[in-house]
Amino acid sequence: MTRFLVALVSVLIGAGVVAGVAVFASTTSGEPPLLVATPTGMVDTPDGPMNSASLELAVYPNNSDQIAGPMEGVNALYASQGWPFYWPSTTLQVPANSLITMTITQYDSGGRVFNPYWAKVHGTADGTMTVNGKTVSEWDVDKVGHTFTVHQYPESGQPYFFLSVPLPANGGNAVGNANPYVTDPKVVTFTFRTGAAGTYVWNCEFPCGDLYQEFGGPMQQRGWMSGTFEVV
Amino acid sequence: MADTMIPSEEPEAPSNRPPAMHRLREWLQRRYVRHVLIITVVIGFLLLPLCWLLLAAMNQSGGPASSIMQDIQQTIFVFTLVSIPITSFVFAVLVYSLFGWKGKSGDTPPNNDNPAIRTNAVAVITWTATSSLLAGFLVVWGLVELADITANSYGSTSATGQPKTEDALVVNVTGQQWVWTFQYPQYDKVTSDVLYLPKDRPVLFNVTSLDVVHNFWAVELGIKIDANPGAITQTGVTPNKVGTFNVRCAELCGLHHAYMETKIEVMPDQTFNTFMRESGGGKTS
Repeated sequence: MTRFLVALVSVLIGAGVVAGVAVFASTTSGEPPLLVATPTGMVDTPDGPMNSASLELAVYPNNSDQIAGPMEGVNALYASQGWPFYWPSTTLQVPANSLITMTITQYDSGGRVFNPYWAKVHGTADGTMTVNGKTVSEWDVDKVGHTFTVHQYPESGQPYFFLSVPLPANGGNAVGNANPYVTDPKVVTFTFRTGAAGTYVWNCEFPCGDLYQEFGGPMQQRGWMSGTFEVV
Repeated sequence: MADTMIPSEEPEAPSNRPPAMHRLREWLQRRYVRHVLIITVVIGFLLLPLCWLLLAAMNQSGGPASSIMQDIQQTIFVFTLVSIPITSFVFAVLVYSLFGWKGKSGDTPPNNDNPAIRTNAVAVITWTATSSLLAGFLVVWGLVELADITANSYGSTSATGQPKTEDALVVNVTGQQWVWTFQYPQYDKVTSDVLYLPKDRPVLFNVTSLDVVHNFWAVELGIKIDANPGAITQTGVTPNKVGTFNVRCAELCGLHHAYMETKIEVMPDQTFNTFMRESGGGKTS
């Protein structure tokens, strides 16, 4: 009987430790709240009528009194680091088999992107995007601020999905403490189609973090320059 | 139980032993030996399907798609097959030790053991010779297969880094957190996030990284090589099967390492050339 009780207590302690680690990991993961695309009705496409939706994001160079930045879980610890971030969320959800129009307002500066592939538009409905109303299919490799790049792992069995658009860089000369963000940001708009349901990840392919090759900090922590992209 | 008890206080090898074959027959007639051998055979037959299950698991995504992967799978099959008798014997001894020699509550443990096996020349020689033969077989098989795989996978001449044949397709592979891109210098530097390859045409990969160390692993093609920042590593393969396969990163490289995968599309050579032309790669060199 004693042996049985010792074994039972040992198993319970082990299960408790595992559960504690799971709860800790869950509460400190820093995944922002879900941002769902807004339905915008049916639109006509060459393939017939299709549902449509829109999603709006912004990219800020750092948090401020105006924009708090990611504060979920462990991300609150990084609030003073001055990291760039997507806002209001990096956990995105869009409807399946729909035409999605995304608008990303880019307030950050930038520079030369390591790989010129990321200065081009990939995966949008017509291979283009608009920057402040001007239609382009690529951007100057020396003036890229960030990218919005969605990808997946093909063995997941879900439809293959790849999307990448460069977000042009801003000059930083108008930025100050009183006005922490440029007043003439780059507004990037693009449209893409979604297929069947699936879960993907996205991240910025412009090295905008810190430490080695600027791929540290916000590039390695969900909620800043990367997140999930769910098609439902 | 009784045959495990030696009623002497000092375990010693007996003198005036009978001939070796007689002792072997006598040993095989012992109950615990028969039981261990029977359990070995049973476990061996239970494990035997593992050889084919391993291959089936590896080929779930459509492989093998090259002679290199076929060689690798053959090696895995043979090594698994060879290891099954040894594994079975070890588990048989373990199982019999746990259950066959289990004492009841209140039993007095035996005072002493059987004679040490180190004094049994037949057992020592048999064990050493068998282990040496098995290890030697694995070493020779491994070296021959490794030489074969290396010859097939190193798609360039080692001195110049140039493709071995004029017909070879060159693909520049770039890994960066957390996406692969593939550039085709012979097709006007067409670049893609999917690896498109022609069937039955040698391919030379120049692999590099733009940030940390990645590892370019074309799973069903059986090739795998580090992608190092500031350096180019080379490997090669000749795909021999049309289909959709997988590229993975096999070096832990950061937040989205687990998602650093993409597709390989192997297509007939003519289809590949047409596809490249349609992708803007008309200027072959």
